[in-house]
Amino acid sequence: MEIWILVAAILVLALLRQPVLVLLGVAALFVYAVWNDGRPEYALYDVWFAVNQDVLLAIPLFVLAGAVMSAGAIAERIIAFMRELTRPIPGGLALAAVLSCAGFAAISGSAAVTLLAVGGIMYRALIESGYSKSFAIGSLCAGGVLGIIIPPSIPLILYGYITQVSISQLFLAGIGPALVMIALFSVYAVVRNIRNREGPWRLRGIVRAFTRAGFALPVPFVILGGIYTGWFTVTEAAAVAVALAVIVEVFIHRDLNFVQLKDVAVDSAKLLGSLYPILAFAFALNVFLTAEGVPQALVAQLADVISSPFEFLVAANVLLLAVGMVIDVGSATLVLAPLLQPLAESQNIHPVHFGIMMIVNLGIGYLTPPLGLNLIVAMAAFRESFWTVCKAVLPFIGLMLAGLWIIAAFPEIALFFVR
Amino acid sequence: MRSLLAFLSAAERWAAVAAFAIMTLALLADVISRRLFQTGLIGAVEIAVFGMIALAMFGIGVATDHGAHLRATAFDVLVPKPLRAGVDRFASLITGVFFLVLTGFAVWIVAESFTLGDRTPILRAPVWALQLILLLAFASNAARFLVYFADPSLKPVERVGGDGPPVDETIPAPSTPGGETR
Repeated sequence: MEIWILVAAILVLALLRQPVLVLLGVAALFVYAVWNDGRPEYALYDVWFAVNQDVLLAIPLFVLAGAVMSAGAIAERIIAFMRELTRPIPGGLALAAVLSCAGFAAISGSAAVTLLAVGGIMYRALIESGYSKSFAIGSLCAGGVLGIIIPPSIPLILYGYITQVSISQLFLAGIGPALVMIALFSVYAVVRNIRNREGPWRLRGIVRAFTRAGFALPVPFVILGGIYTGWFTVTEAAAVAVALAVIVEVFIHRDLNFVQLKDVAVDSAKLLGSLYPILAFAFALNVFLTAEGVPQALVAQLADVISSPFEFLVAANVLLLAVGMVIDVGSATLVLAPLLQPLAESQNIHPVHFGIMMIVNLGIGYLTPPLGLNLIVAMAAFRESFWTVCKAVLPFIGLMLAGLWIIAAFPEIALFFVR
Repeated sequence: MRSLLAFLSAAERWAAVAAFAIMTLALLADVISRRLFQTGLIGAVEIAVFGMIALAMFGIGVATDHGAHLRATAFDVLVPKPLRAGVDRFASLITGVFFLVLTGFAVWIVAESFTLGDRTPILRAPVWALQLILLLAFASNAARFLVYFADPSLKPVERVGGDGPPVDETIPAPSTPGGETR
């Protein structure tokens, strides 16, 4: 009975335009009040415990580093370099768009930021060079999603935090799937635009673009290389990323001053202020559910229904695709990962592999109506109708589904660097 | 009411910026110390975590000021357009009361930690003083949403992803029985 009261209350609150943090907060307070000796205040203890953990330090710092680099001219410098590099290849500019998204994603960790930073420059360039509007919008929307697949990725950190899976391993595991997605997008970009050619390589242009991007290009390699070689922990790498971002943008490129830097910090605080309370209440709920043995009970019940890893993967992916269409990737990860990960483990699916698959799957939600964030952002940024944007991303949703299938079917793609 | 909002907004913005600076500097000092002297700075990570708590909690207010809190907007289409303003005002009241309840619980937590004399593991700082951040953050958000309820014109426009177009502009009009949109 009580569970139906809770479900009804959450639905009513959602209808009454309450933010996710209120929905999760009410759920946490409710379960503690009803099933924890009438002591809802203990939920706040778990909230305190949730935010009082050093494993979370990496999130605000990677967000800040990405925001500093986005606010400067790093995107423009990376794009100029990629354009010069891909000139002689058929569909070179399209390929440059995909590679620029990938390069910028390795810095920003965010899908919408990658779309805006690269799309703001590339959209016009693609249209002026004769590429179709549909391809330009689709490729930039989909390229933006690389932001949450290529490490450092905030959703991967959230998955690691809520399921206690190593974040370093998740970052390592993100490389293979990211390469699969980049390869799929690149091949499609070249094949679809095979007749669009820019011309031969220009040595002077390459040298000039490389010189301008010379300080920006190594940043992802320093950050990720530091983590992969064990030189930094993930948290230390995040602090180094902030330092590098500030040094490059403020002191070397001089694209930002200290007043702008303060505004960037406030912008990042805004993002974190919307994420952390959700994370904290999801953690409180998770503590309660785990203490009550809910995930274990779910595993036991579903073990009778699901008899093979294949069945589980199909069911989990269909569920995640549906959820990704209506809920943002962070909230979906925090709520569903603690429930699905024990199920995956019971089917002998590696938790790191499952984590990567989950984030790639939820990433598709950025491109699916009615609430795909990149669709809405693209609609505003490129001044096109929602319908035009939806049609433009269709081939890329197909590519991402193909990529998801490859990643799910071949665990070694994700686990190669982990083992 | 406008000046109260302006004060809260400025105070929490600066607190968030200071928290970022503290976090980054503490962790960088720790990394540098570990590389140069083969030993980390004692308490650096704990200080960074304090900064993160302040950032997370005061960030709630910064997000509120920008209409950036994540919300499942799938249900918005069910609310007829003429009713949206009224529902939105009522929503501010509910959110305000929610934060008020959290403020009450935060008072209890702070009082408990004070009574028990809890201290942090490394720097031995009093935990109740840090937990005051929860109390202040929840109270300031309660105040904000109750002000929005009293005067809806002061409520910031809710934006997709915090920076995108206004959420209400992305909601399609409800379909008529004939399938046409109004």
